[in-house]
Amino acid sequence: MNTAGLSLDQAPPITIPFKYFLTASLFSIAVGLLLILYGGDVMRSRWSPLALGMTHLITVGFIAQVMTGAIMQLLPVLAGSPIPRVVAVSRIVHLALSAGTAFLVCGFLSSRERLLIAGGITLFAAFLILLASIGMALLRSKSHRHRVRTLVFGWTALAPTVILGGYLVAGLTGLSQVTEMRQIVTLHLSWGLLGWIGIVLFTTIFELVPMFYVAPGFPVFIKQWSLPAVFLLLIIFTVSKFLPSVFLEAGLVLIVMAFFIIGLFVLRTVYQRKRLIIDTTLLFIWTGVGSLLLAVVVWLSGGNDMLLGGLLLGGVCLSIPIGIIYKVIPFLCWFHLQGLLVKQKKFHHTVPSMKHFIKEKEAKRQYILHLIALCLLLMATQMPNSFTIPAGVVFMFSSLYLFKNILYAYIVFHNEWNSVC
Amino acid sequence: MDDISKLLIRDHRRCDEMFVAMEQALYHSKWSHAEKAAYDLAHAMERHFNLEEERLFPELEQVSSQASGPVSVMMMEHAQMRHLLKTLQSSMQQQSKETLLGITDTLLVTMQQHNMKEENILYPLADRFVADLGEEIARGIAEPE
Repeated sequence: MNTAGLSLDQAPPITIPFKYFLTASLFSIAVGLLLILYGGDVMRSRWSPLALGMTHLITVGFIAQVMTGAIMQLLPVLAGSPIPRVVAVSRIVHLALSAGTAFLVCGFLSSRERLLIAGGITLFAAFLILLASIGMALLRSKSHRHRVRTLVFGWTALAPTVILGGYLVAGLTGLSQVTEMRQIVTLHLSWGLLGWIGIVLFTTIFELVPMFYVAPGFPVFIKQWSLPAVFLLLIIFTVSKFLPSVFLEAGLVLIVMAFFIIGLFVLRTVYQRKRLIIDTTLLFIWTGVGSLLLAVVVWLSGGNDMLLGGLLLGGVCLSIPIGIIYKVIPFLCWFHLQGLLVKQKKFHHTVPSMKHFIKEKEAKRQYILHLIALCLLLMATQMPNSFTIPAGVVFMFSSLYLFKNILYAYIVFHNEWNSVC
Repeated sequence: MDDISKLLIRDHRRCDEMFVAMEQALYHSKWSHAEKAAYDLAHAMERHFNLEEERLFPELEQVSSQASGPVSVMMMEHAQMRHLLKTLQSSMQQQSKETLLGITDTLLVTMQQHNMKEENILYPLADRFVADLGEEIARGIAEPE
């Protein structure tokens, strides 16, 4: 059993998650700017370059940064195994992810093929290095617990997402002949949204909710089997694109139903929690899960793609990670400072509590802005001309507020660190 | 008989419940109730720490070379939680809900991430290498306070 990750000295430096989370919020500010600059045009069609640009700002610009920053912290705790050469890997992946997102999004917006190719290649490299590093860490870990297994499914789903994405860039830029463009897009986004993001986010929720709200654990079939089942169904759904069959295509319906049931179980577990305090993280989780359930209803009733996209990207993919950030950052600040005190044997010095790094009031204010932005965004999917710009303005302020909250935590941490040293 | 991990995990959950009772009392500004609950929690956690530090960890370090790294981290985190519990109890006089709930939030996250490491890594080692200690640990946990 590799136990190196349990040594505090080998825990990744705190600058790593900060760097990723701050960059993520910068990209979400860019989402707001894009909505303001292009207005209702963004909402015309999910196939428009503008919509594709916005989608990738959220998924690669925001989510990939947050999930990468988090996995680097999480692996030592969850699997007892850190990412090898974490500082160098994090630097390269962060740079490649940031530059790749910028190239790709600018490529979509300007329809410049060279930028799209540069974005595709850079992101491909970023994800390849990331997946290889996670793979090495997991291979070294002897922990075969189900939570690690589920995480493996989640991160494995990133591989087809990236490969299909690369193929689509090749098709868009004429480097390769892609005949079934729409089918490939459907597969790319299914693996990305339902596979990678869905599995990783809910694996985290299955751990986080019982721990931080002292709730009963999720039933085994939900915690251990539902997400691997989603992965398997995604494979079946993928096969259906090559061997057309109604039976195989039903895979997607089953995945959607699986997420609906998962969402209901999350709400049930939160309801059964013993710790009744409602903090900002919980508000974000409620919003995320509520959006997921609504998205399923919209999908089943044949509602429009833009509303579905708004619910999934704005409601689920942004809300849940922000909620998790509000728990992770204050804890890491506190934990690293405590570690420093012990190392320097300064036992008379007291580290302020977690709430000192991000004040609950400030986090709640950002949540309210986020919620207003989300509502406006959903209205904009129905009435683009009236609501897209207001949605963009509030969204930009909400993202700025998030950036400020994370930066404030870093400044407080830094000052405390200096006062101890 | 239950194995070591089952016994100690059950004790973790018991401490979680005591924590909730204490935090709930704080939240509703029931100060004397909260003070008593904080004392009970500190006592239960101290007993759990002692059982690990005096019995489980030394045995584990003796039989498994893999255990020494994790054990020293666990001990350090025990020290952090003891410190938090002491701060919590000494801050009770000020009756400032904001300060106290800040401390309880920190304590809970520290407890939970610590438990996760113990339950995922250390206790499975204990079940494998020092299963004989099970009876003694069961007695230690069952002893009336």
